[in-house]
Amino acid sequence: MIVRWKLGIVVAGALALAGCSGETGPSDTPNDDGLPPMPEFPDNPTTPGGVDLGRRLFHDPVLSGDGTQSCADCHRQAFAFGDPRQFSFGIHGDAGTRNASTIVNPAWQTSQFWDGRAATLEDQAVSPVQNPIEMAADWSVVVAAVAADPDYPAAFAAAFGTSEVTQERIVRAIAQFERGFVSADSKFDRERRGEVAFSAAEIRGRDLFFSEEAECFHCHAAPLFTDGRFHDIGLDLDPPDEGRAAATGVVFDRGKFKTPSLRNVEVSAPYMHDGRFATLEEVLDHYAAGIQRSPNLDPVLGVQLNGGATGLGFTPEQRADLIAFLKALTDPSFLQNPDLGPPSS
Amino acid sequence: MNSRARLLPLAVLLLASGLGCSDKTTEPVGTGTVVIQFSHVVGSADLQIGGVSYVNSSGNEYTVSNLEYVVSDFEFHVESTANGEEDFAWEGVHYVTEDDAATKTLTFADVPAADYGEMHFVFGIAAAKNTDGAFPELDTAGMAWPPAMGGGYHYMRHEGLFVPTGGGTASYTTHLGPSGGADYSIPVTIALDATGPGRHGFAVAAGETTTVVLQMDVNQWYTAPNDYDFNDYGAIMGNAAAQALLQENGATVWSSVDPGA
Repeated sequence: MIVRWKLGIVVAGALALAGCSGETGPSDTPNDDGLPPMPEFPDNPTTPGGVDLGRRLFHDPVLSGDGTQSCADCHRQAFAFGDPRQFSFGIHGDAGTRNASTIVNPAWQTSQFWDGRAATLEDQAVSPVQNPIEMAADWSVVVAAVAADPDYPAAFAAAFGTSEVTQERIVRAIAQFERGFVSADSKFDRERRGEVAFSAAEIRGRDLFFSEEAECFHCHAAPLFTDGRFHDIGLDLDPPDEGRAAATGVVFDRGKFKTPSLRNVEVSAPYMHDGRFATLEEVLDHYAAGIQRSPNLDPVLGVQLNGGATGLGFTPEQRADLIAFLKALTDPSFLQNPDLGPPSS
Repeated sequence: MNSRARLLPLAVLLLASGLGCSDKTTEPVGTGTVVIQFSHVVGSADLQIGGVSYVNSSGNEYTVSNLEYVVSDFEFHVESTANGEEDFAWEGVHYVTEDDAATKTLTFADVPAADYGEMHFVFGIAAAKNTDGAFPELDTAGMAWPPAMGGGYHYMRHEGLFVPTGGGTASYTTHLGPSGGADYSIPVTIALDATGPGRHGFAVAAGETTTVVLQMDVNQWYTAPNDYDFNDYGAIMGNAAAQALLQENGATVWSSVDPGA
């Protein structure tokens, strides 16, 4: 804690100086949990009533067209709010084309979905409800069904001041609930706080992770273990999924997908936007020797291929060390947090 | 109580005591606002991400995939102190990324009205405050420099593709930062003409906003005074010679241009 106070004084001084100019820049101090300060959401401030309502809605199949599927059916807490199936199935049994994204520390993210087509959690929550291959509902029907529930109007009043049920209020409540999906108590976090010590393999894995030799850290930037940006990591020479380009229309974005957080990656298989890899070992196989020089391959990986290599060439020992470190990002208190599960009644 | 809440009283004390504001407790000349706009060009053309090819002095044909960097510690020096004018200083850091227009503007409110003839800033972050975790938003942006490689933050990430000797496609990653713990940050001085016919609009008037365009010529990183051949460099975070070479080149990449030009 002494180091943090020293650091805090430096930052406070910088803020004080910044006050002379009216510009603070990005300087700020980390939270006690080691994450950056949580952004503020003045258009949808979090309230206890809003979180309670969002929690109930997130776990309630009333949002689907036939009342059988909730958000939590594809975003399962035990799997870091991801889906262990390669593709999720909607209410009609249709499969999607991408693996359901995990939801880990979403409050810090400035875009949602693998292609970033939604800017906010509120925007994101609109889409699956009306997607014909997901929850396949009509929002007007959903709003009526929620309003007809004997318990919801009081919950809306607690959250928003009146009992009126609207689509906007539904997605705002869900967003408030999801912003509470904070994972910051993994072994990695506890080691940084001086509460536990890493094993030798975890230390080697950490040092490799944060090196140009393995090139993990540039995209999976600590402490969130994502940079929130979009990258082509050479999965396909000719990407069959447009990725980010589907949202932007920019050819240069073709084959790029949002960097997923590696927090709780141990439990969030399968991996990649299309769930093509079942295990972490398969993921490392890709990075070790399976990178394709696709047109938009990220240069951070591409520079490792200069000279004809096909990957980073991890040794078996390096793979084991990296996986040991990745498993240190598992946060049982997040995966088992009862406050994020379905309400008891 | 979280760290932010604990620090608030301290920050208030510093502000109230004037410690953070030096001796600028009275401003009889009034103040204005200065907006710094960051512009990125190659030669005379605006930088284009992806697709468009450029050529450096080594003959490397290259494209740009990513450009992001940190600037810090701005100072505006007055042309004259005859009427009590004082220099302006700001000890913060600012992150710029080509793909987010919002980052390409830095605003200073309450700049004393005066004619400013020179600007200083640091490209990157000086060693004294370039420490792990000091700027969480830089961590979030993926700008952290691993502790094992010196710690702190990148100064710049400039990445793209080039045509290597022999043809084909290769990648470059010009990552500048405190390699091995050394300080390769770049002090930059921009001479401004506040009053002459070639003035760059850097006279601050009370109650008004002045815009200054700081322009980076990306090609200069690889051209002057040192040639930088992409074929000779791969990942350079641990390459002290490359960092030193680019540190020298970094002093010449910046200029100030008339915002109306």
